[in-house]
Amino acid sequence: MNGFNSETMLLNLAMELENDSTFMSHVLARYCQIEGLDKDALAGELGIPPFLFARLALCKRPDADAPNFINEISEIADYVPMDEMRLVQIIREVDSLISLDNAVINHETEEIPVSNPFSVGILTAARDHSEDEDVDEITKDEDGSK
Amino acid sequence: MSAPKEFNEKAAALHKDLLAGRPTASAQIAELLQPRILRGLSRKFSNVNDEHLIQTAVNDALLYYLKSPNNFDAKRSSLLNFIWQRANSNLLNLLKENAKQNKFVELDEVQTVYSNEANQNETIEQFLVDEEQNCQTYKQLYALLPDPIDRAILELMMNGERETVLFAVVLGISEESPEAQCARVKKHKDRIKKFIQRHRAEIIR
Repeated sequence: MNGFNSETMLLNLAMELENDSTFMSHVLARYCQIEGLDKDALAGELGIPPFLFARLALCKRPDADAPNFINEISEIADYVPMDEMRLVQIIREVDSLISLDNAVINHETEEIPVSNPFSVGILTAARDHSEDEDVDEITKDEDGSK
Repeated sequence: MSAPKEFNEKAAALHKDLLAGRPTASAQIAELLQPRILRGLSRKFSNVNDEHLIQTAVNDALLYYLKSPNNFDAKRSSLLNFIWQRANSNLLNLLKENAKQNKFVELDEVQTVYSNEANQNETIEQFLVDEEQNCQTYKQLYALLPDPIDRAILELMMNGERETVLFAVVLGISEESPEAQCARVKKHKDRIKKFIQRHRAEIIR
């Protein structure tokens, strides 16, 4: 095939899907980040050659909350082929980290009520009202003194 | 881009699987279509030496489909043709961009591709390549060409081989000058092409 290496071509295609969370490529890229591995090292750890790693990365990722999760895991594991339990472990680890990330983001958002424009509005209104009252008081005083 | 019926049926079934949510369908489609489209496109744009450009065009077309498979309407074309058309269009756009930037490809080279397509010999080669996986055609041609060297040359042509060097090896003229090799390879290929042209009707039948 005119200089094209099918293994490299599929790996390159899989890499293009790393930002798409519906593909296993995204899960594998996140797992590599967590574990500090490169793709070759992860393929080695999974006991599969690069061509099968590309095949795994190009699969759609099973949803751990879906009722057919185990069936989908089995289908991917048979197709690649690879160890089912290892695949489940990788998906669960990545999902846990994503959940943790989301929890941290939510917590940080809740901790800064001042950043809420509505809250700031209330505080500003309260402060303005107070200052206006002060001005009124002074004016009254000035009027009274006259 | 044409393909054997079984190939298109397999691609259509995988498309249905992808829509149905089967997790391996996307990988199977990529494995099935990517090599064929890469091969076809690099053959069609044989004057484009930048393989990265062809790869980008093909991968972008596949990504477009894999991310939104609903964009493909099975009633209008085969999946292979849908992705092929998109990859073809992607490559033309990339070539135009590069020609504007005067980077990798001279516009003249792109135009040469179109003039090649109009060439009768090219049409015969395309016919051979399109029928590459059609065993029946191959068997018929094989039967019509008794000479083993002719058969080997035919096989290279059916594989879309364009480099003179392999044909020269088959013809046993590797020691000759490059010019002489080119001339003899061309003469041999032209003879086979003319032979196929003469017998085309009975091959297609």
